[in-house]
Amino acid sequence: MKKNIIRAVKLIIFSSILFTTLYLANAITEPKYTVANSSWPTTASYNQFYQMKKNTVDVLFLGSSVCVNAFNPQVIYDEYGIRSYNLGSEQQSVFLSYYWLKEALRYQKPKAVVLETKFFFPIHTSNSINTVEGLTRKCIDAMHFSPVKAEEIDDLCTIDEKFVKRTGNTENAQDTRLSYLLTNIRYHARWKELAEVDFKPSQAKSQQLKGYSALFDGGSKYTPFTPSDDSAYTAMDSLMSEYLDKIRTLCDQNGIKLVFARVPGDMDDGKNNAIVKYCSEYDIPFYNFAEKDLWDQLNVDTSTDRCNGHCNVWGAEKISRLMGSFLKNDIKVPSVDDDQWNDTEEYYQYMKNTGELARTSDIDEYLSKLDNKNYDIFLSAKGDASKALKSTTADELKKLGLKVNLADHQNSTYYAVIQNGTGKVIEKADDSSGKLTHSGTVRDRNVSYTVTSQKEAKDEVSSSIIIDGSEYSNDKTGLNIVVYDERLMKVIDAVNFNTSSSDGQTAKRQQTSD
Amino acid sequence: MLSYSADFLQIKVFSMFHLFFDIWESSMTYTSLSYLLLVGICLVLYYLLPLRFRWYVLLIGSAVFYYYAAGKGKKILAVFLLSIVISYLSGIIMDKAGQKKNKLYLAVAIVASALPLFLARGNDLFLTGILHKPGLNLIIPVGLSFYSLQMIAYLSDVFHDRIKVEKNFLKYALFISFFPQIIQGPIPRFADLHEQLTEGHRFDDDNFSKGFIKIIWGFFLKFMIADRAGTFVDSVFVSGSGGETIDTAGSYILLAGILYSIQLYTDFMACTTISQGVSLLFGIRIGENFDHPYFATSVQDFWRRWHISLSSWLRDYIYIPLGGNRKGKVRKYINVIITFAVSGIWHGGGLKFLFWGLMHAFYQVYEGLTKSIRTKAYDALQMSDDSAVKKLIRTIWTFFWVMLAWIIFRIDGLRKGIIAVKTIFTDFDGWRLFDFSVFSNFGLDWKDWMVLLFSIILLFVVSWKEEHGLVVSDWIIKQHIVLRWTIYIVLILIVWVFGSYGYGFDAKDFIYGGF
Repeated sequence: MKKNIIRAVKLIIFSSILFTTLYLANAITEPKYTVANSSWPTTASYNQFYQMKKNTVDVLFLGSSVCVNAFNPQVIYDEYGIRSYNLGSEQQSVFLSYYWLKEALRYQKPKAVVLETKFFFPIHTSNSINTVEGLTRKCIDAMHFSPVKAEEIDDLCTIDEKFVKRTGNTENAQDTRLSYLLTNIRYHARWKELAEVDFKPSQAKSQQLKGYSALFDGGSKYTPFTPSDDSAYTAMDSLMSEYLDKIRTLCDQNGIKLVFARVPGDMDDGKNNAIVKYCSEYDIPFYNFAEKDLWDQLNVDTSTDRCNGHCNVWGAEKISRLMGSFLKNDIKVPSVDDDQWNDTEEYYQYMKNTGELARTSDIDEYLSKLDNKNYDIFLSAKGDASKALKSTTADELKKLGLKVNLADHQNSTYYAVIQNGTGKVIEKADDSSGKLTHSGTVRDRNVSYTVTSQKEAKDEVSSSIIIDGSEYSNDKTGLNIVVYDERLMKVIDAVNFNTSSSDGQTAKRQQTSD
Repeated sequence: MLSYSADFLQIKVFSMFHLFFDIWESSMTYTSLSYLLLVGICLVLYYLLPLRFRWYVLLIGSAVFYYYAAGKGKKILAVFLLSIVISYLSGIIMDKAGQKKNKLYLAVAIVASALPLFLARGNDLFLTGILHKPGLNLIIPVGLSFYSLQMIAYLSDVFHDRIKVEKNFLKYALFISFFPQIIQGPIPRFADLHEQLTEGHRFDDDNFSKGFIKIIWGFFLKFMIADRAGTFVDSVFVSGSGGETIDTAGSYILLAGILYSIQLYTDFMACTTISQGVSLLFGIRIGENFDHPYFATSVQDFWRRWHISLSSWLRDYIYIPLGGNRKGKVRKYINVIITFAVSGIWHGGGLKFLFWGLMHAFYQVYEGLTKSIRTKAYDALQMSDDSAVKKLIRTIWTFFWVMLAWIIFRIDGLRKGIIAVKTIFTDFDGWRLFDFSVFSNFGLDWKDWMVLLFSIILLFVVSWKEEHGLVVSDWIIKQHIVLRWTIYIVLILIVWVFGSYGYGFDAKDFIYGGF
């Protein structure tokens, strides 16, 4: 008997250690999407939602990536005092929106839910729930384990099994129920891409923009939709329609005003009429920003604003302001002063400024914007970087703490590393050496870099700026500059100024961070 | 806010119910969760029941396993059951006949019991392979090649009074269907196994620990080496074989051949090791099936080390009855050729398997005929039998020829296989091994290659130690509990994180399970 008790105790201890180890391994290998590594930082966005005080969110946005990039809760709050949260995610179909709404209602009592309509219609038809497997996972994985999540997984797998049976399409099948419990089944190859955030999960704790994802692409033209055919009709996807009804019922049961919105993009009479018909049937307001009336109200400057598809930060501000006005005036969502939004205003402006930097073209203006304590600046010369260097530019470089006067080192190799946070400046110019290289770390030794300026032969020159194993230098003649932001923990710009040519001193970008 | 308390339990139970059935209904293989679940349930029941009833758990477990492993195919189950009944009754009849029985009894019994195997191989070899006609649509039971040999050995042993006939049908059925080894062996002998199966065993800590180590090691071999190597092998031998020839030059074929040799070995050994491990959890010892075959210094030595249960079966039931080496050298070589032809056909009905078997026969005939010349050559080079260099040369030489035969064994189509082997010698593009294209073109990146390489090195070290007398599982269970548990957990963690399995990965069945 005693022997059996000892065996049982041993078994329990061993199993506990083993399961804890495997649980930790799964926690490490599960993907974490943050501002530093993704344009749609889903993990951080959903994590932040769970940290919001109970019953403080008055408006929820749901939908796919176009929703995530268009509706900025910070702008809506700053402008109208409306407390909103964007719970959208990439390719979030109505099925996924339904369950995120259901999950959100465990923590919040929103007055309105704004649903983006793009995924009402079939888009990813070879997938059972209108969303590809990887992005379904991205959306569901971030949800805390709860009855809602269990129900969602079970529902998803049941639908998918029927879909596979009906279509015979196994290639795009969703995961098994078990893979949500034992995530290693899904992420068995993740060990190949483990990064700092995987071992420091606190970095994925929140992203402060309340679900909104800021993009900094250039402006974009768009031809708005003008209704012309009342008889056209495009049927919604049957599964999407089923879950749309569920969302509507859920909202009704909870006294929530359901609102539809369409971010400018693919729109025609058939789709518009189908949505309008549904809205008139159930008394749902529909704000179609793709339609000419609302588009004109946005007052879009297409040279800088992208208000269609994946909106940029400037386009999103315009859509958010207009949406905010509708929420305020039509839906009557009240203004409330709340520090949860007040405290993140500075972060949003900071984030926006990084975007401003990445679209600054003039070298002097650019250099003046680098005076930020969170920036680590890497410079590497290729060819003659001083031949046409203006004195104003030399002054701006001096202001950054650089001592070497490039004008004294024509056709030299040259690199510099400026750590604004610590005031540390490393620079070297050499008129004779074929290759100058320097390696080091920034952000408390968490990020490694190697800067190289090479002049092997007269016509064989190169510039290299490698940060954490990735090459960022544009490797073009003149000054190649890479800016790493310690606060956002990523490279925010990689640019070249051709200081060798008097007419070439505007920014050339080959690669920018996403 | 909605109230979820009312439906919380319902949803939870519903989900768990579905989850359980997801696991249970997934394909039953030796590395599947459903199999581990079955083993777990059987273990609990086995040790809860009184000793004399414990074998019923194994029997029911075997029935459940076979039902799911056969994909619930009723016809497959019927054929399997019929074979068991026929061989059982044949044994009883021969026993009853006593001294009156003659070889006709045995022949009829064997043909009747192993008819599905004979039909399957005849179909593949003659209809498809030689006559190039569409094969018959036969029902092929899971583990057919293995349990058929078990039956033949049993009937032969009963006929020659080497064993007592088993009169209890259920006990006989358990011997044939014992679930840890039905799919891929080792091929057990009745005398070695049947008592162990039915006598009932008390829980033994050492057996349990050793079994556990073997299971972990089996998973390591399968997921860290075999399936990862298989990705490259399949890319070269399958994806690149759309036309008449393998669409790549010699260096990749050589590399794929080497990796396939390792894949086949680790895949087969993984299955055997897991079988041994699971059996040990029940206190049942299954014989070794491998003895580090790639350390062999001759092809004859290789066959003493590779698939030992099959080799000894062929020796006892084919080679020796044919006269073995007792009737002169010529007859000996003929017997070797016949034995290896049978071995080839046993592995599969296609001509390539027959050719592969004959290659091994040829190797051994060649070794026999040239032995004195080679001895003189080594003497001239002043290399004694203890010489490490001599052993190394012979090991590499043996491996090379065995590897070439494995290429024939692996590639679909004999002609294609022969051309592939020829390509190694006639179109060897050695530079490809240095241009790093192996990291990008064949499904494995450099990280996979590193994991594969380190895993093979670990296998080599363990094999080397065992070759020199150390039994690693015995060594581990003698260590302090902290070190022992650390070894267990680290190995499990390595397989868990770095193993080739899961979503998007084309999980491979055990290769020998297909024979």
